Amino acid sequence: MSLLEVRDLKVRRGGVPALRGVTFDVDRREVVALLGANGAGKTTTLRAISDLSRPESGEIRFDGRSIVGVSSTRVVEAGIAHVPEGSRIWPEMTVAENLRLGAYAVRRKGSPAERLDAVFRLLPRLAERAGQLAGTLSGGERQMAAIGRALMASPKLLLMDEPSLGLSPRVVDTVFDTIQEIRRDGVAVLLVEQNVVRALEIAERAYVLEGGRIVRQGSGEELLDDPEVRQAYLGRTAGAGSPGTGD
Amino acid sequence: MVDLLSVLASGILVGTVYAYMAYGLGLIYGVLRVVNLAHGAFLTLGVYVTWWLNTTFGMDPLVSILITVPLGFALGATVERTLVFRLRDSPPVTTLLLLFGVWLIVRNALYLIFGGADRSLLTSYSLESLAVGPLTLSIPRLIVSGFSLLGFVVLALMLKRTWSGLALRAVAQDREAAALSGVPVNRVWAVAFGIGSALAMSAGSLMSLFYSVTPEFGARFLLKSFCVVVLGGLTNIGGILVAGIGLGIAEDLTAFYIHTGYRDVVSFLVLTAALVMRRADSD
Ligand SMILES: Nc1ncnc2c1ncn2[C@@H]1O[C@H](COP(=O)(O)OP(=O)(O)O)[C@@H](O)[C@H]1O
Ligand SMILES: [Mg+2]
Repeated sequence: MSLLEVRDLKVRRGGVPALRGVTFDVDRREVVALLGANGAGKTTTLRAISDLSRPESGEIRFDGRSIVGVSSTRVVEAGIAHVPEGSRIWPEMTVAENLRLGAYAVRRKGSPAERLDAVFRLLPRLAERAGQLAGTLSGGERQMAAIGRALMASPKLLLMDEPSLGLSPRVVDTVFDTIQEIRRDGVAVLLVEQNVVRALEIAERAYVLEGGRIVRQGSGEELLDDPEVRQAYLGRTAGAGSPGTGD
Repeated sequence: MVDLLSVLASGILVGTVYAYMAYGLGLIYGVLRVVNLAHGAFLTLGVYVTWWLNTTFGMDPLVSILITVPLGFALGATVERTLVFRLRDSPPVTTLLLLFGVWLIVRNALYLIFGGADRSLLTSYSLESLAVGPLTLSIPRLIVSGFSLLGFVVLALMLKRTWSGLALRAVAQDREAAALSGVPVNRVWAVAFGIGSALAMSAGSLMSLFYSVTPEFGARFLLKSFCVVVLGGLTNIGGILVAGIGLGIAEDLTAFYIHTGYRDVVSFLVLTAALVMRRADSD
């Protein structure tokens, strides 16, 4: 049994079908990439898991239990944290307050102070900025704060929606290093990314969404080698002169 | 000079209770994005409950805060659960009208039960005053101002230090992000409405010490609450305190140097000017 099982998920947004039957799995301790062009339905998939958008039909199971129609609060309590598109930190709260409130779902379990230490060890930049209003952070720091906030909920599965969007190449490196460390701590990651090569390099498996359907799936390496994926998402063909994979 | 000083002092004292009276309106708007026209109802109910407890049991208005705070919380949370929450997907004007309806019902019920006569509440210290240097300060105003400031300190600590306080601020700043951290947004809405109403009702308790008790109490002070909240910046405690004191001083200066009759016009002018300037800013 996989950690997360999504079966034939259909979701409408603004009355229009956004997901038309999406099926995929995420196993324990696995990084799975969810790729696709703008408007393909990646964000909608993550929103449906977190109960921000209600599915029309289909099934979502986490740890063997159905979580369709289960409130966002209960989803977090069950062990799914979500780093939303655009980071969405609370700008008029300090970084420390953002992180503290990230532990709301688990406030009666374990020690929030220990979790905070662990997050500061993973993201030392946040410790330096702890007392600052989150609205004053740079784009990269905001993303780090959003990741740290999600980790404060002690998740088994982390949903990440385009965590590297709009960041400078050096900061993108930090984000991907952080994802590797999160995986090392035993947390599974469902990663939505525009940065297809980087995502496929670290993902065990990946799915490609198009028009609300999964049109391709495979291991990260398989998809990196797939000529159609290269053409569609990397803007180049696998023909002569193209660079090799795994660089 | 002494005149000016005592006008300023009295403006500051009354301004702090203005800020306290208005804060709930800003809190509810900040968290729910709902303009609570029933704020006037809670202010009026606070005055009447306090007056009734005083005339029936001889209870001191300051003691009656122990009743108006929990009662206001319960009534506010109930209004949110039973009315506002059900309309959360309708156009804002529906909620606005509904809350206006709540106020009309409360006001007319008070007319029916107690009649329209102005009443007032007298305590042993109602007419006492304290000489500070050249100034003579009214004891009830000093006490009420002190209680208002104390209320703000408690509120600020709650918002800064407790899980509920952090959750309230998070929902005000980004509701979906709050839900993604496990904050039960529906419950936070009810709590915010409850706290806002508790503040309004207890403000009524405090204000019964020096304003007359009438079913129109809420009408008189709702506009001033709007004025303070728009000037002060909705949920910003510091800003609202400054705006309340500013309004208190402006009113007392007007009443003293121009005419007492113009006191209640000040908030109307200030509100209009503030809204026009906001408009100009955003154009
Ligand atoms: N708030 C919304 N209201 C209505 N339709 C939306 C909304 N957000 C997204 N959609 C539509 O849903 C589809 C999927 O969007 P989304 O999941 O955001 O795609 P992606 O994250 O892959 O870019 C698109 O057709 C988009 O136009
Ligand atoms: Mg998206």
